[in-house]
Amino acid sequence: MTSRNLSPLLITFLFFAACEPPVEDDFNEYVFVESYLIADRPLDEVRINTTTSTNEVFNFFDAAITDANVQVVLLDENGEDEAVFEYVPSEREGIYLPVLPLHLVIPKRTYRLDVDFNNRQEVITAVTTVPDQIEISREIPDTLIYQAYERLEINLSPHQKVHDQNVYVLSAIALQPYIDNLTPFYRSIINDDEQDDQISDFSVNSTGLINEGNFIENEDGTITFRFPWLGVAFFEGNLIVANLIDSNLHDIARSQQAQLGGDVTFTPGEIHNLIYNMDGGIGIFGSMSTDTVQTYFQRPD
Amino acid sequence: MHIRKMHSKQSRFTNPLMRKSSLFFIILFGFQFSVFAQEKASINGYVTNHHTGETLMMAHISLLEIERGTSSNRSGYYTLTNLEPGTYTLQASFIGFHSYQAEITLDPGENLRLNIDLVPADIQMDALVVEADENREELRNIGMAQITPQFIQDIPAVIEPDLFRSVQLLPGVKAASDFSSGLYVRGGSPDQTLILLDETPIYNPSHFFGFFSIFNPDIVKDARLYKGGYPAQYGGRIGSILSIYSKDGNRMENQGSVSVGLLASRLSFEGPFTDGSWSVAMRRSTLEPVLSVLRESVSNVPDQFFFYDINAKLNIDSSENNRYSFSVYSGYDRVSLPFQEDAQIGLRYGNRKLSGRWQRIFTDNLFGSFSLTGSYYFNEPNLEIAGTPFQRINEIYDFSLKGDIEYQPNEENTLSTGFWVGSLSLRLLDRLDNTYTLNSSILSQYFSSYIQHDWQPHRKLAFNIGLRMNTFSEGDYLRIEPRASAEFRLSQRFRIQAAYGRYNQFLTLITNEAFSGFDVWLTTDEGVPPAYGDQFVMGLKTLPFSGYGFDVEVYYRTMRNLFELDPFAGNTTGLDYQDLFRFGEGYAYGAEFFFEKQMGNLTGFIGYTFGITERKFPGFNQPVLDSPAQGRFYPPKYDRTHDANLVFNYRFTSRWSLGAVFNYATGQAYTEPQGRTQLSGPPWDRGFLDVFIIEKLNSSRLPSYHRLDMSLSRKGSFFGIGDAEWQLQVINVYSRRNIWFYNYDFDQNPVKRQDITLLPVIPSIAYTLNF
Repeated sequence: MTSRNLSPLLITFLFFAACEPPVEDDFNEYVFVESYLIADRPLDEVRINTTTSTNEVFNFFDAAITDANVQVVLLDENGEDEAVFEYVPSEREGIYLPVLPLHLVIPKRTYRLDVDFNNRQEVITAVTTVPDQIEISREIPDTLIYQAYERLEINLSPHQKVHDQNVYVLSAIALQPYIDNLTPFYRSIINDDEQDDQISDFSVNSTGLINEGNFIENEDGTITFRFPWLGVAFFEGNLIVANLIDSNLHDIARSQQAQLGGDVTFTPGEIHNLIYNMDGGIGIFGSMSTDTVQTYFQRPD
Repeated sequence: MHIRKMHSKQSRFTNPLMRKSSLFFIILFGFQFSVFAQEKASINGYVTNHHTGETLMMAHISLLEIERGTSSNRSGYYTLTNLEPGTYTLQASFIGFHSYQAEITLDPGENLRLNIDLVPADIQMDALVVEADENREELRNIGMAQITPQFIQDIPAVIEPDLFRSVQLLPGVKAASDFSSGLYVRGGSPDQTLILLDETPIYNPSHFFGFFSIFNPDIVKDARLYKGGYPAQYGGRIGSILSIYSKDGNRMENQGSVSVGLLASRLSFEGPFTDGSWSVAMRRSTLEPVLSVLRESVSNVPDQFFFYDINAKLNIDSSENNRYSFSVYSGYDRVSLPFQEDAQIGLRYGNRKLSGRWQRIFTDNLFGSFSLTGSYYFNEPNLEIAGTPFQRINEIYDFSLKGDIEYQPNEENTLSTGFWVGSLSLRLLDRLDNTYTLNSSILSQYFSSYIQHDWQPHRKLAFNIGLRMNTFSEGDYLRIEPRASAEFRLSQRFRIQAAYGRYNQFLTLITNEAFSGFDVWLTTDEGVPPAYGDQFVMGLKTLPFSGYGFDVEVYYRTMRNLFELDPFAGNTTGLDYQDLFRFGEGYAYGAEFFFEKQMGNLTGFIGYTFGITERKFPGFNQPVLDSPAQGRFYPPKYDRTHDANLVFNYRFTSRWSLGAVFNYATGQAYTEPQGRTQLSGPPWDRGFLDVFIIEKLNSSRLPSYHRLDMSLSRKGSFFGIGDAEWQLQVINVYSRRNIWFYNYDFDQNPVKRQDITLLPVIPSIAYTLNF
């Protein structure tokens, strides 16, 4: 093969190689809104901030928006406004609180969040339908031996479905979150440099999303879920919390999990946006119902 | 030159049943052919390697005086019919073999059985060029490429010579990374390439999580890649076909081979028996000593980490007209790794394959091949953390009966028909904490059939027209696929080709390009219709100088109704089967250039591909503020706009040779996160959750990829026992730190980016002994 044969192809190849411009996206600022409604509890705060470039340090209070007009509206069956709950800025920038916090969030009802601004163009709305209230209906053992045959079983009383399917999250909140109380697996993944932060993170340990299909249906209409040992990060006293979440929370939780690499079907380097059910901005206006019990995880002999 | 002639005469159509069969096919196809005059004669037989008795596919056979030619089919069988009685000079040629010439005399009505043995040439000398040019022309059907065992052995390879790594060097074929042997052909993902080993589908063709393929180079006789626009004879995938044929085994003498490498070793034996041949080949990783040393100083070293594969084949040449073959493959990968306290991950996966084949020469112009195949794929990852087990089982059982019949009534027409009927059982089972979270079991019957007509009305013009029908019982799907191709020969050295085809696919593969060990197959079902696409291909095939070839192909293909597991599906428990999927579309187009030199001491090629491919799924890559149901097209990670390969092998002497492979490719697509914010934490959790904002998916590009691999080989003798070869290789000679992907540390504020690089410089040495 002579160099004369090679030259035209090499020149072509180098030409194309030189012609590859790097394609980069620019950073665009968006308004991010975050608020949760919990059934039978008072209206909670609304947090509003702008997004920042990934090249900059993110700090909520630096990015907070302080001039927003915020209201939450209870809708009737026809989607018309039934009651309006005004919000005002709190002492903490970017955080808005209801003027009248006495309203208790009504299960199975739909609420709308309205946000606009004095100095911005965005008009943001989002709606959520609050799940039915749930109740842990059966007594749980006072004490369970960690990884023993007898497991913690959460039994939920019958409740209605207001979304396509009921999706739950169970959490264990450690009452004595000390390093010596960590179960062996969690103890082994504690990094000494970040010990305090990690212990704080593990002190509320969640199962992730659980579909109703994961529950066992009982003849009396109740459903039962066996709490996995992986959900227990600390020995000794724990609050066990059952949450039934709405579709907005379901969407943002499953997409956030996928964004940070929780889904192995994404190829390395492929990152997706979250699923926001919000018009005019991004964020979450979600709702849930919840119930809590307490137990004690004893170390095995 | 060694010439062997075997004459056997038999009158045509002596068997009434066969006569009826021929008549049936003529009626079936609805074509009118001239009736054979009694005085016409014919020649047919098998073309084989003189030293081993292996049949040779696509050898060129011609009668020089009348310029009639044909090529041997996939079984090595050729036939020339409708010949005037008389004396001819028959010539047969095949690349790397000495040309065969014989004078033959045909009597009126004679059907001459002439099996041809071709003698391998030690060095591809210039004297062979003319014959090889003819042969190479046959090998250059549109969209097709051939991969020979010699090519696989000659190029530098990581760990092992590898078929897929060799295929990845061809224009139009891309690799996802240094760690992946997956084939990305013309913008398609690996599941869009049907991989056949002796006509049997193989579902996971990789060892070591995809690092290299399961095909032991010692058993590969020939491999054909149909990159696109392939004829009706094939189906089942919307992209391409890779058909691999294993060696029959030496029909002349017992032979063996041992190859010892640093990470894997091979052993093979083959030989004749009374009416045929046999072969056995084994390969196993030999990592255990390395792992044992590592355990002394490094934590989290696997308890088990190995693979093996075994191939065996038995051929029975029971009579002149009947040949039988039985082949078995079994491959297994196993890894078990403890990590942290109270945690263990394990994976076992592999393929089993069993097939039997009957080749029958019914008459001089009617050839049939029938296969009974069974294929089993299993993939079983398991993970146990803190007393909570997770298990997955993905299994496929595929049993089928396949038949192909080829009828050549005259020099202008060849008719082919065939069927493929089978039963596919697919199971996907997930268990979390000993409770089923997914339990999908699908049993489907499938049936495919085709008719295909090769018509050459003029020496310069050839057509291939076909129709394929596919049915899949789960979901009651029936799909018809028209196929057509045409070729115009401007001269003996220039050919223009065009092809079109509609293709359907009833399976999809869930994989993440990085590691193929966790691959999961899923099928169509009710509510999950098959993917389909159209392919348009045009080509120019030239032989500009004697011993050189230059090809150009352009293609455009659509991909519709692509069904993939929805990555946002989250917890899939209780979901209907169709809710597991997302449905999208895609397209690809490109141009491929291939310049090769196959003769002389310096052989090799330069391949260049310009290619674009994009996909779109609702809810993915949508504008940030738009409806979640929208979606925009985006390039998958494996998209490379420019891809060039330079491959050469220089033989200094009969003992010493130098090989080199240089690859340049556009950097792969990746997603650059632009913005960030935080969730203060959903009420069930503690701590902030980071959220990142993407403007466009995969709109950024990694730095360009380039790598040079070299090998130096020395052939010799092992104490007179047999031939031996030392091979010294250096992978990534100048240690280019190509980027695999960027890993973003989202826990850092601001976000920190880390380069995850591909292979560094790797020297290796291998020793092969043939006895």
